[in-house]
Amino acid sequence: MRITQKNIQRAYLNNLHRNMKQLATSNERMSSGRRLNRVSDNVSDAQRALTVRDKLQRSEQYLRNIDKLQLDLNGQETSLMQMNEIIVRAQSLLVNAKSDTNGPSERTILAKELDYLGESIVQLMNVQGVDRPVFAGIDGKTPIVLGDGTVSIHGLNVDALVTPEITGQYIDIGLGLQFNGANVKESSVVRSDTSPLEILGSGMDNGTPNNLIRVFQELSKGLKDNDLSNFEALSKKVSSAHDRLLVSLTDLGARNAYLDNTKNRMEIDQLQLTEMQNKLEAVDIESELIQNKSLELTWQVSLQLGSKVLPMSIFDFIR
Amino acid sequence: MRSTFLGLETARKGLTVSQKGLDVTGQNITNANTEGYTRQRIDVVSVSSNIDARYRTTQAGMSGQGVLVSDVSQIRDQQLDGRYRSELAEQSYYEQTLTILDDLEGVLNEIEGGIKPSLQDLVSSLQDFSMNPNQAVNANIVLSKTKSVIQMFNQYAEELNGLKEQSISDLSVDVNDVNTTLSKIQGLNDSISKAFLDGKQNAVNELMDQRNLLVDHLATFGNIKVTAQTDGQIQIHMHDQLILDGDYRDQLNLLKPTEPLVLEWQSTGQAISLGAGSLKASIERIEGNNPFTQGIAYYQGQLNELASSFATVMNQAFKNTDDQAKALISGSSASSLSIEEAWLKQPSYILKENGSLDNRPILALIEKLEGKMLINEEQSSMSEFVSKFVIALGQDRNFIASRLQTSTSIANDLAQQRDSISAVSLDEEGANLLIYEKAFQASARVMNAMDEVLDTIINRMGLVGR
Repeated sequence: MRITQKNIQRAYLNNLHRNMKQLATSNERMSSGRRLNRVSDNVSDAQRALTVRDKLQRSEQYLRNIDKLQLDLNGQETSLMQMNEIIVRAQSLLVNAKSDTNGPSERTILAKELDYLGESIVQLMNVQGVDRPVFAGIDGKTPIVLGDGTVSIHGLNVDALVTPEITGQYIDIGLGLQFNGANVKESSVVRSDTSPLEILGSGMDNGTPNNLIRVFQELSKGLKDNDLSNFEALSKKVSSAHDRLLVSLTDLGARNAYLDNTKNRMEIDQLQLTEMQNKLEAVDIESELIQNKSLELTWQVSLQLGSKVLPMSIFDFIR
Repeated sequence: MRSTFLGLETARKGLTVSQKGLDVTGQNITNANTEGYTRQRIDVVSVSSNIDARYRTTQAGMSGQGVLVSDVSQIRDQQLDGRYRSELAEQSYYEQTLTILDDLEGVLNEIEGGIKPSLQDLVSSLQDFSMNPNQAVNANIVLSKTKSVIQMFNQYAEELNGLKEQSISDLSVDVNDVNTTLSKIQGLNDSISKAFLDGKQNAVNELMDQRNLLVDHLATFGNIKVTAQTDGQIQIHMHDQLILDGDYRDQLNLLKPTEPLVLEWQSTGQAISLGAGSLKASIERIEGNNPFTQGIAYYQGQLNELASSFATVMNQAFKNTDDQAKALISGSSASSLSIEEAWLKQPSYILKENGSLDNRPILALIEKLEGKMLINEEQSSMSEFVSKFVIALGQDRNFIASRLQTSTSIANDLAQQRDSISAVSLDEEGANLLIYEKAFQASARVMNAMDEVLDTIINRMGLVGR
């Protein structure tokens, strides 16, 4: 092949351009600290990086959700533990009250204490959380309202039999939120509330109320009136309310433990995801630096070579 | 019989030829870096003795008449020109495609910001909202995050539109360029054929260089075929359409503003079809709106589908006490999305009127925004949908970039081959300088020898006995 001036120039310039381009790309990676500045820098890595980012951001949100959820559940647990103590105290009172040695005045005192315990339960159930009542359920209002001889929870008279509301409040913690019509699938979320109606009970059994507050009211009334005809039946209601409370407490504990596990798992996932993100998106500064230096050297060599190659011709040698 | 002064004339011819050789060498050296210059060469022939002479003579008598420059020719390979130009059309097709795809990738950059992160932010704000569904503060944050998503859609739409307008204006510059180039080539054709008619073929080398350069330029716009005519003119076809032949010249017209863009030859009045070149690339990537040719229009369409799905989902999310959906977003294309007045004026518009903590609508909205739904006839989540077309764009761009690399290296090889034949080698010309200089000296010596011979004949012969 005949080599002309243009051939030499073109070959030289093409190579110089390529070296400069490689150096510029490496410089961009160094100054941005990122391997990926555009999807086309590495399509498959970019695809993974986008997915990892999605997952990371979501898991951060879920962890925040779990923290808030645990705060709510702990508030409920504290109240329910106190309520447990109240019921235990009430049960020992009832054992005491049943004894025939008590005269009317003692029974009145016992009745007053029962009244007091009943009020305490109402207070515990109506306790205010950070921004709303702890047992607000989904209507957002103070749950228990005492009327003249009536008790209503979430606006429902407890003496009427109410099926406990099924729609609680649910929080998404990344279990794969799913819906069944208008209702959220319970297996795909975690419930954040505890229903006072479920624990305290509702409806009547042969003229005996099921609701714990109503039971306390009836018991107190019986003691005051010195009429213990319904005493046994009412005491049983206290026991079954106690059972329901223990179930609720166990449920709360189980939810909390589950959340702890989930949290741990997510934190480990997050570590792995962050590591992956670094690998995919961040520049490995040491190796990039070495590459950058070698590219710079190549570039300088081609520049030096240029000053030698380009002007050289026969004219440098003929007189 | 030999004439007395024949030798002097021979030596003179030798001097002239050497000088012409030096002239042409000088022309080559001075034009070594001139774009499009083809190296020239003197075609030298030895002068033959006149064998048709009326009076019979011995053959040897008329020999030694010297040398003549018959032509100053260009050294060029027409076939290589054709191959180079067809590769040039390929190369500029990929180059133009890559330019537009690069711009598109610059606009739809989901690596730094974009729709995905703003959607994520919106979902995060909804998660917080779901835990405190009666709080105006949270509703307010949801409003501002929704605004961000909408702004992102608006911005993308605006930038894509700007890109489209820019590309159309670039295309119209190209169209003008094609028309001007054709008219220049026609002018040169004219001058060259006139010189041919006058028998001055030697005089048009530089004009042919200019014309070749223009034809190379024309080849970047579309696949052309060049046919040389006997009168020195060239005839040009672009993708089987005759566009230049003698006095006939076609013109390219870009009809604006039409949807879709139409680029047509004036002679046929029909949209042009091309096999390669930057015009084809521009039209494909401005108008391309199908999975096979993903142009600006395609990405606009994808974005609009997404915007419309987003608006629909948001508008169905919250209901008032009469079970009527609250309209939150108006508009159904990426550029027209905006927050409804009712929500804009009152951020707590999305709260339940009775202060209820029922967060099912919020969870349902989260599920919609994150879960799969039907967007543009395919099942995917909004985020996946964005990923999908951004990744597809990156792949498309890289595919074109690698094709460009191949095509550039082929075109480069052909250019090197062409220059190997047609470009100036300074070493060679330097050697020529020495050769012609030496030849000139030698001819001068011949002149001297002839002079001495004549001196002998004139001054010293016939002096015997003086």
